[in-house]
Amino acid sequence: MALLGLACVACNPNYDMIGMINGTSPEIAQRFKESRHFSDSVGVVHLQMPKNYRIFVCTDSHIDSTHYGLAKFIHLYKADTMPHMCLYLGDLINAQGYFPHADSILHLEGVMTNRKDTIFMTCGNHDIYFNQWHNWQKYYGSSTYWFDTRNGKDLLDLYICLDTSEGTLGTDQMRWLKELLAQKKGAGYRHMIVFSHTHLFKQDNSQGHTSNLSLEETYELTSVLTEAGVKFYICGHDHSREVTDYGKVHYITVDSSTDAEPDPYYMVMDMGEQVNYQFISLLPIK
Amino acid sequence: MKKFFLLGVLLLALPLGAKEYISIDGGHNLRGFGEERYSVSFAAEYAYNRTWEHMANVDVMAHMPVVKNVQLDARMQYQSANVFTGAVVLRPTIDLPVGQLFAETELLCKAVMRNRMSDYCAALSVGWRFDYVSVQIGGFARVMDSWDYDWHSTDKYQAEPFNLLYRLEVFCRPQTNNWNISVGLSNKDDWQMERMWQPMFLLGGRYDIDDHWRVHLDGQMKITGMFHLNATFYAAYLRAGFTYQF
Repeated sequence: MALLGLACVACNPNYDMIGMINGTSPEIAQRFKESRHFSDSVGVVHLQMPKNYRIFVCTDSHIDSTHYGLAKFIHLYKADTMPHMCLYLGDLINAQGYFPHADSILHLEGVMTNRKDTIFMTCGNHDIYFNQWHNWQKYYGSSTYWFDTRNGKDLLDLYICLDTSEGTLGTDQMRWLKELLAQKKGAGYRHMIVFSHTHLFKQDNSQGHTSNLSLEETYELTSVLTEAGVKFYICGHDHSREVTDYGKVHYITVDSSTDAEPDPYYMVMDMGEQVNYQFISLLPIK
Repeated sequence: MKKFFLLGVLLLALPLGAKEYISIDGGHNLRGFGEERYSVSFAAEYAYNRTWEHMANVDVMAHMPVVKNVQLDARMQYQSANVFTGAVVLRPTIDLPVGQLFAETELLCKAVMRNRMSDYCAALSVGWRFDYVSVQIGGFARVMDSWDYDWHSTDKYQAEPFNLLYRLEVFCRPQTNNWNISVGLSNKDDWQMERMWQPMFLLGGRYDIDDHWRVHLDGQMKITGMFHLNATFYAAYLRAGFTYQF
C-alpha cells in the first residue's frame, strides 16, 4: 500500500520527486546571495504608517487552475479602510507554470522594481519546485530582506523576512540574521516580527508529511529570536493553525488559503502598542 | 494482504539462518558483539552542520547486561558547539528461532548550553534483528525547556507529544563475523532523535581485533527538506572509535 501510495505521488505532475533527493532550484546559499544582491540594489523600505495600522497575512494558496481563496483575500485586503499592508508567507503556487496566473491575482507587476509594494512576499517549497527559483525571483525579487514601519521619524515596527523553503536557513542567512538583530536590538523598535514559510515546532502531525527545520536550527533560531526580543515568528507551510509561546516569542502558524482546503483562513494583525490578531475564514470561497 | 506480506518476509528471512546468529560466547548479538558481557566504547567525532558549522565531539558509551536478556546502555557525548548529551537505554530481548525481538526504552537529555535550553526525549520502540537486518519502530515524545524562564511561565516549555521513531539497518555479513559493514536509514542515532520527516543516512563498519577489542568507523548524513521535495544537505558526522569488552 505504501509503495502504491508512493507510486501515485511520484506520478503526480505537481510533485517534484527529484527534489526529494536533491532540490532542483539553486540551494539556499545561492538564493540568499541573489536575494541580498537584489535587496541591496533597491535599498531598504521604510513604510510610513500611523501608529495603529493593520497587517493582512495569507499563506499557502497553492494556485493552479483555480484562485478563489487568494482572489477573495486580495479583495478583502484592498477593500479594508484601515492603513494596512500584507505579508504573504509562501507556497503561492502549487507547481510549475502558475506564476503568471497567481501574479495576475496579486497585481504586483511594476511595483516590484522599486519595492514600494505593500505586499511582502517570501517563497515556499512549492514556489521553487522544478527549478522555478528564477521565475519566483523575476516576479518578487528577494526572499531574504528586512523593512520597517515609521511614523514620521519615529520607529514603529521591524519586519524580517527569511527564506526557509528548503527546510534550512543555511549558514550565511543565519549569520545575516544574527548580525541584523544585534544591530537592531537597541534601536527602539516597538515590535520586531520575523516571518518565513516553514514552521519550527511540530506539536502535532496535522498535515502529515510537512517537515520543519532540523533540531539544531530550531534550538539556535529560537534562542536568537528570544535574545533579540523578537515578539512574533509567523509562518505557514503546515496548513493547520498553531499558536504557541516559547522563550517570550509568539509562534504563529497560519492556516492555508488554498481552494482545496475545506476551511481556509487568513490572519489580520492590528498593530499598535499592543498587538491583537484574529483568524478570519475565507468561506464561502466563491 | 497483511498475512501474506508477513509470511513473505518470514520466508525470505529463514534462509539467512539462525545458526550463525548465536555468538561464540552463547549470547545473541547486537551489531555483532556478544551482548552478555560488559563493554565500554570511546569515539572521537568530527561533525559539521549548517547552523553550528564545524565541531569536534567525544563519545563515551557503556553496555551492561543486567540479567540474561536484559541490557542497559549508558551514553555521554560532549560537542565542541557547547552541547552535552546523555542517554540511557533499557533493552529486554526475546530470542526467536530466527533472530531476536527487542524492546527499547530510551531517555535522552541534551543540554544545549550555547542556547541555554534542554531537550528531553523519551522513546519506546520494538524491533526485530537477525543476521543481515535490524528493524526498529516506535514513538517518542519531546520537551524543549528554556532555562531563562520560571517553571510556571507558559513559554518555558515546548512539547511535541508524539513523533514516529524508525531505524532500518542492513548488514553485509552475518553478525558473528569479525568484520561487518552496514547501511541504515533512521531518524535517530545514539545522540539525537529527529522529527520523523528528517531522516538520517548511516554507513557503519567494524572490525573485531580479538575477543576484547573492536574498532569502528561510522559516517552519517542528515539532509533537510526531503519531504518538502526540496532536499538539501544539512549535516555530516564522521566518528572513529574502539570498544573494549570485558
